[in-house]
Formats: sequence, C-alpha cells, structure tokens
Amino acid sequence: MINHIKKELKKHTFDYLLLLTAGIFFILALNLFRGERLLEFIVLLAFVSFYIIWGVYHHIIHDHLHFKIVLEYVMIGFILLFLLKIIILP
Amino acid sequence: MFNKNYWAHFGPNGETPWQFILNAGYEYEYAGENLAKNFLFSENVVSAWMNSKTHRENILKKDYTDIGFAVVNGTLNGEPTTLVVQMFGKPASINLAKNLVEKHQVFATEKKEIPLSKSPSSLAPAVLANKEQKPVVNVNKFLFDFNLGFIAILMLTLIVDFYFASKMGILKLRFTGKNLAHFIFLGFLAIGLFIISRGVIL
Repeated sequence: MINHIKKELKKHTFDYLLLLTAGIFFILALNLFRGERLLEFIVLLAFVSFYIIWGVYHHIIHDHLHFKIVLEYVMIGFILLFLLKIIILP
Repeated sequence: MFNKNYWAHFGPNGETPWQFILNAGYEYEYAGENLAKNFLFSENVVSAWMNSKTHRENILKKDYTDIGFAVVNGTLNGEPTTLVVQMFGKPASINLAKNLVEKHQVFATEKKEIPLSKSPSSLAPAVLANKEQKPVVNVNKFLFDFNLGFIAILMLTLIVDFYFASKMGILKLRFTGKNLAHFIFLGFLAIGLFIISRGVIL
C-alpha cells in the first residue's frame, strides 16, 4: 500500500503539490478570518470548488475521466460543504 | 453591540465599556472587560482568554471583587453571531457598596409586593437566578462530533478500500477517484473544523 502511495506521488508530483498548497492556503485563510462566519464559509466554498476542479483536471490530463468519477468528487465535496456549513452558518 | 452593529471595546460613537458600567449604577475603583466572538464551545473561550497575556491578567487580577457575564446570540453585520462579554470590577468605596446593597433590597421588597401576573418581566431575573437548569443537549457539540465522526469514517473507508484494491491489484483497472486525494482533502477539512470551532477574542 505504501509503495502504491509512493508511486502515485512520484507519478503525479505536481498535482499533489498543487492540492497540498491549496490545502495550506485553506488552513491559513480560515485562521486569518477566524470568527468571521461569512468569510469562513467563502473560504470553505472556494476550497471545495478547487477540489472538484482539481479532481476533474487530474483525471482529464491522465485521460481516464468518467462521469462516475466527477460524481464522486462532487458528492464528497458537497456533503462536506453542507456538513461544515451547518457549523459555520447555523 | 448588536444594536449598534459593532464588536469592539469602544463603540462607533466613542462609547466606552466604563460608561456602560457607570450607567448601570456601578461606580468602580477598578474595572475591566474581556470580549469573545463566535466560539463553538465555552471551554475554548476560557482557554483562549487564559492563553492571552492581557486577558489572563484581567481574569487573575486581585483588585477585582465582582464579575459579570453576558452570552448573547444575535446578528452582527448580517451574520448570526455569538458574543461573550466578561466584565470585572471593584466598587468605588464601601459606602457605595452599601448603597448598592440597600438599593437592591428595596427592589426585592418591591417585587414581593407586586403580584406575579401584573409584572412578570420585573420578576423574571430573580426567578431565573433561582431556577435550577436541567442539562440540555449541546447542539454545537453534537454537530462538531458528528462532522468529525463522519470525516473519520470516510477516511477509514478510503484506507480499507485502498488496501484491498492494492492487494487485489485492481487499483488501475477501476474507474474511481483518487483515494489519496480524497484523504488529503478530508484531512484539511478536519483541521479546518477545529479552526472553525475557535472564535476570536478581544
């Protein structure tokens, strides 16, 4: 399993670096706008949107995009957006 | 603060916390104020104050003899907001303290003479003060735990799925998203959840 992860990271280094960078910016922005609920939600929405676009882009350039895959990224993104939204904007 | 739509020690028209204290009939020798906004849990408010040098000094200052709290939900700049105000004080003199006590005793006598049905609002604070509150379900705690639990279960599912798929050698054959990417995404959201639960102090 570890070998698979190493291979995956080595093969798609740029893609994962991009995702990690976005994640770090997400954490920094949340910390910066702590206590400002609307801004926290906008930051969350931006990160979820980025993630879905990242997923689609990643599969397009490696030529194995499928509707099922798009749905998977959209479902994971929006379920978590909804769950965290309940906490940020009750 | 909700009425004038601000969150600061000083109001938009230059109002100070000391004016509020004096207007309430409390003449002080020492007074202090701590503020907090949009914390999900009460214990985080206290720990944030205790981790801040100036707020900690306020809490531990020996000069203060009285304390008052206000925890209010409202709308600030169009957003649902929870504000916490912590006031500290020491009355200006013993004579003044006596006056305040006498004043309160007069109010208590007056309340006893008024029938409940005629003035329920004037009696409300006294009734609330004596009321034993039953423990209620902490909605924020439930939502936070639910979110964290959901993320943890999803991460665990991804690990198990990835483990079996790699063991069976079908990782490259199936049309699915990348488990590693989902895992990273969920990890950042879990960290974000902890940041969101912490508000800001002033």
